[in-house]
This record gives sequence, C-alpha cells and structure tokens, in this order.
Amino acid sequence: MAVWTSTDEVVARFVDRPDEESFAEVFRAMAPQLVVYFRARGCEAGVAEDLTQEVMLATFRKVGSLRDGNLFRPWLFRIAKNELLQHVRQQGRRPEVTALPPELSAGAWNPFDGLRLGEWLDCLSPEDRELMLLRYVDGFAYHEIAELLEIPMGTVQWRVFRLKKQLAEHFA
Amino acid sequence: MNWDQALAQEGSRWREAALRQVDTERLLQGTMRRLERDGLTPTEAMALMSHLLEPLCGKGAAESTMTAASRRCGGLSARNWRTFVACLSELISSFCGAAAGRLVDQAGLSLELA
Repeated sequence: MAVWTSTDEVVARFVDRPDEESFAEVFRAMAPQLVVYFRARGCEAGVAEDLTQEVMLATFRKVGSLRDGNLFRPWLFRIAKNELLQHVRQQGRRPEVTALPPELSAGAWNPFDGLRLGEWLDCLSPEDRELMLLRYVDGFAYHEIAELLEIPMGTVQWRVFRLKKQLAEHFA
Repeated sequence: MNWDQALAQEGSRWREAALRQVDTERLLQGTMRRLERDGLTPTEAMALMSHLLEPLCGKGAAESTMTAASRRCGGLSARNWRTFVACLSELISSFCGAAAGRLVDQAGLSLELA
C-alpha cells in the first residue's frame, strides 16, 4: 500500500552522502509526510511545521548513526514520535489526538456512510488508534510499522485484521 | 464493503487536506538557515572530510579510516572533534604519508562544529 511516491533513491543518496543537496532532496520527500503525521495526531498547522523542521534537523545531525538505509523511514518517524512526546510534555497536556483538522470536516467524501474516520478512531484504545493511523494515514507497510513499534510483523498484521473486523461488525 | 479500501481512501482524504497548506520550500529554507546558523554538525564535517580523503586513498579506505578513527575516539561528537581529527591524521599518515596526515589535520581543525 504505497501512498507516497517512492523515495528510495533520494534516501539512499542522502544516507550515502549527507550533504546540503541530498538533504534538500530528502527534505522535499519526507517533510510533507511528517506534517501529515503531526496533523493526524492533533497538532495545529504551525506546530506541525515547527516539529517537522526539528525532526529534519535531527535527521541531518544523526544520519551517521543509521545502520541500515532501508530502515530510514521507520527511523525518521521514531524521531518524530519522540519529538511529539517531548512537545506534549512541554505543553503539559495530551494533544487532541482524535480531533480532525478543521479543513477536513467540510465537503469531503466520506466512505463511512456518515461516520468519519476520526469518530471511529475515538472508540479505539490509543495503541490501536496509533496503529490505524500509521497504516492508513501515514501509509506505512506492515514491516515498517513492526520496525517502528518494535513488535513482530505478524502481530501488526493480526491487529490490523482484528480492527478491520471490528469496524465491519460496528457498521453491520 | 471493502474496509481496507475504504480506510485507505479516508486516509488519503486526510493526507490531501493536511497537505493543502504546506509550503515545503519555505520549511526547507527555514531549516537550511538554522543549519547555517548552528555551524557544522559532526555528520556534515565527516562528509567534508570524506570529500578530502577519497581522492587521497579511495572511497573504501576513506570510509573505513574514518570509522576506525571514530571508534578510537569513543564515538564522534562536536566535543571530541579534535581528538577525532588527531586519530584520523595519524591513521592517514601511516598509509598515505606524513604530508597527507598533516593536510587532514589542518583541514579538520579548520572546521567549526556546532
């Protein structure tokens, strides 16, 4: 389920030779994905952009510690996850993780027959909600989610399957 | 209903809406300004050193020498950059000659790290 254009070549160039040029390329490829990640977890647009810049700066500084270039995306989003946790701690509150950004509420086609994804996600535990966001909003492959959450891939597949079954039952 | 497809479509709607106002180039320029202001990171400095070393001893040797120097100084950071450069200079001297070692030393110490 590739929802983003493949960034393999851009990432490989950056990991191999992290200079300004390769960083700019990887920034253009990954920054929009990070903005979506933060927005889907309740951050306002300005906060999502600030956090994205922080993550990309950290990426540039730490890329030397990345052992396997194939795991770049999970590694990057682990930095994003930590950045978000730090932001939440500084704010002293949990963000409204289930809130849809306002622009999402108007006029968009809704495949859930009157129930939006955010409302359904409200019913889930934080762990299950995070899993569904990673899979369907951030567009991660199962093996990437497994790497990011540090759990076996089979567990990820099983949990997603179970959640989809729950969803089907909910709307039956 | 195909729930997998429905979820993927809803996810796509989220992405499109969230991306509508993102100005990636503006974010990139802001980040580049921060990088310039903050000085070189160890990663950038390593990249510059590799540009210097590769013509001298080849890509593979340059990489393995820098890895060895980094290990010897206990991991690369801005704080131990001078120690790293000293180790690297010594290693390069041993197989490329003293002149190359001095060049590495001078080039390395001329870099300012954040």
